[in-house]
Amino acid sequence: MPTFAAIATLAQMAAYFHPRLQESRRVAGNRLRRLARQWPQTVFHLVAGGALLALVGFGVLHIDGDRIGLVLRLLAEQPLMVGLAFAAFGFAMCRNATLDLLQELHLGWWGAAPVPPAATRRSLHLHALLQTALGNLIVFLVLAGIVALSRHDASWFRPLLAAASSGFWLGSGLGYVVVRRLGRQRRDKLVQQHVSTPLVKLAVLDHPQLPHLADWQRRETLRRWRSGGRNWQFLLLGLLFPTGLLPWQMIGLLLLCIALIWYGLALRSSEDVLVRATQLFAAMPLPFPRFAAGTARYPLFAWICASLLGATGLLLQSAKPAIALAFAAAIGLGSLLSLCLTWRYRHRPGVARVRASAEVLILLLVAYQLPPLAPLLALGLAARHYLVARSLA
Amino acid sequence: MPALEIAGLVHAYGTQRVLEGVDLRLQPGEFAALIGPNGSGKTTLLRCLAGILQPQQGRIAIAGADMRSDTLAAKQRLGFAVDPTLLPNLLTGRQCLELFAGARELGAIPAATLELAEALAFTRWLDHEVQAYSLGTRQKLGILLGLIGEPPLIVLDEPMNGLDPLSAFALKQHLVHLTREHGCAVLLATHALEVAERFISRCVLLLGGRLVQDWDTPALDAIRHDPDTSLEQVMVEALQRFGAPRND
Repeated sequence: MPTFAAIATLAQMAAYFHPRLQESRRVAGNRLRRLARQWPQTVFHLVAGGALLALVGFGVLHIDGDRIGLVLRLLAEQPLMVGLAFAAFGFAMCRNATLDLLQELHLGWWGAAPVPPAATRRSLHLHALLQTALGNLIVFLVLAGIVALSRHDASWFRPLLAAASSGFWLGSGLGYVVVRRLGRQRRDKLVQQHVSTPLVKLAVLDHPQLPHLADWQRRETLRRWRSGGRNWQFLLLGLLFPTGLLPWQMIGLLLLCIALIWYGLALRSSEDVLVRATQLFAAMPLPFPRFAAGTARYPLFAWICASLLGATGLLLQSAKPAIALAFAAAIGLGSLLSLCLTWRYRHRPGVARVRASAEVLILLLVAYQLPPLAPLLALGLAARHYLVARSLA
Repeated sequence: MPALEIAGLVHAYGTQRVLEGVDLRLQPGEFAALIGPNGSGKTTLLRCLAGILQPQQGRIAIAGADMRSDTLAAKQRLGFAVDPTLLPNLLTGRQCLELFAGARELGAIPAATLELAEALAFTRWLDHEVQAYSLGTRQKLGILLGLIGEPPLIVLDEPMNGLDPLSAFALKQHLVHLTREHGCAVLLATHALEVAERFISRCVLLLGGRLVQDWDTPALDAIRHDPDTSLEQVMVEALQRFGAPRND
């Protein structure tokens, strides 16, 4: 039961910051209390997480830190490029996160609450500042980790960190200014509408019993693509694009990168639609295999397109056909695993994302140590997730 | 000073104009129902006067405070029920009320709010997380958040949705009490005409983004005392007279 003093503090805090900060603090407190209440599950997750961390640590210790250090030293010799790349990243990160928060404060449950504009402004400042500081800390920790792994030269560390950090803060600041300018405009402009109608109809993608489900995934992908959801990746690509390549090699690299960026967006959109379709069909007598077949069609189509485009790009860069095939198989297996996990955790998509990241990391470590075992392990994991997903239906 | 004054309000989503010059004035103590068919602009009007949407033209003043030039003062004089779908799942009802009490610079959750919570049979849900609530329970919390501090103007969008008959009756009694004893003005958008008919002192019909009809207290009394008619029948006749299209 909260004390009067606590409520008085709330009232004082409201004068300085938006009460959304208090909301976050209370949500975190509630989460911790729930973890304590469900302690057997929490202990299991801690033990499993610890084991995973130990495995990752073991893998990391076997990485050739000197080789990465050499790459970073070469990068440190190009401080302008590094700075610009991190500026693009900082800009995208800060712009998107601040815009999301601004939308929530203006259009969400706080929309009609009497909160002083100065408190909202201070909260946005604080949010952007903390986020940028956290991002910079992660960059620092990653580079410091590589220094720890490098047994020899670490002279690249300071110039690279300085270039990355200054670019990151500059980009982040610019992203923040852009959103603040947008916030001063009309509020309904905060919600940007983008047309999601495809140029060409692909009725062939429709499942006979679940028509338009694939179209829904495709439209979601198009909406995100046209709203510039991956522009920062293209910006990064533009900044890091190597010079001195032959024209067809340049075209090849461009095709490969576009295929990867587009496919990442298509897969993510398809999975988000899958989760929303689960809620929509919650009361429908829909067998899971049919639902799975209906939701797999568009990702499969996207994989075929991305594989063809990426493989063409690799071949143009004089790669062997086997490498092009391996590329298609690798992204296919990775996305199959991700899709099966989303089916399994369709009611808890956050768990699917965390688990997909962890399992892909393990597969990469296995591929590094025992390459032939990785595809088999990926197929085994995907089959296991599919069977569990099916049993939940 | 009117509790609400709207003059020449225009709002459009892109090229689609939803409000076409709305004028409305509510006096303290008035209990007004805003009625109209689906897509007539009711929710847009309420979101504009709550400061959530910014209209392209027109003026909104809440108890004398202009929503555009003095947003904070206007919002301090306004209570707007929160949409149940926007409530934060991981907070308890009490935490939500404490946050809103803090935002209104109240020392604690007011006793009147806790009394209303009791009348709405919400007290036992106060310390449960919102994610455990049914639709009706979420609706009750949204209403309690809107009524906290009993501001001069209370705006509710379809508040009876999902409420059981006892809770709906308790809410209506409370709103009547607020208008008569505290001088609050209430603007209630609703389709439940039979529910509104017995309690309201005024009714306005929104059609195609314009307020086309306004029934004051004597007109409503005449409808109530005529056994051969009802507000529902009068509204249907008005819709036919104004040639209302069906937008649902």
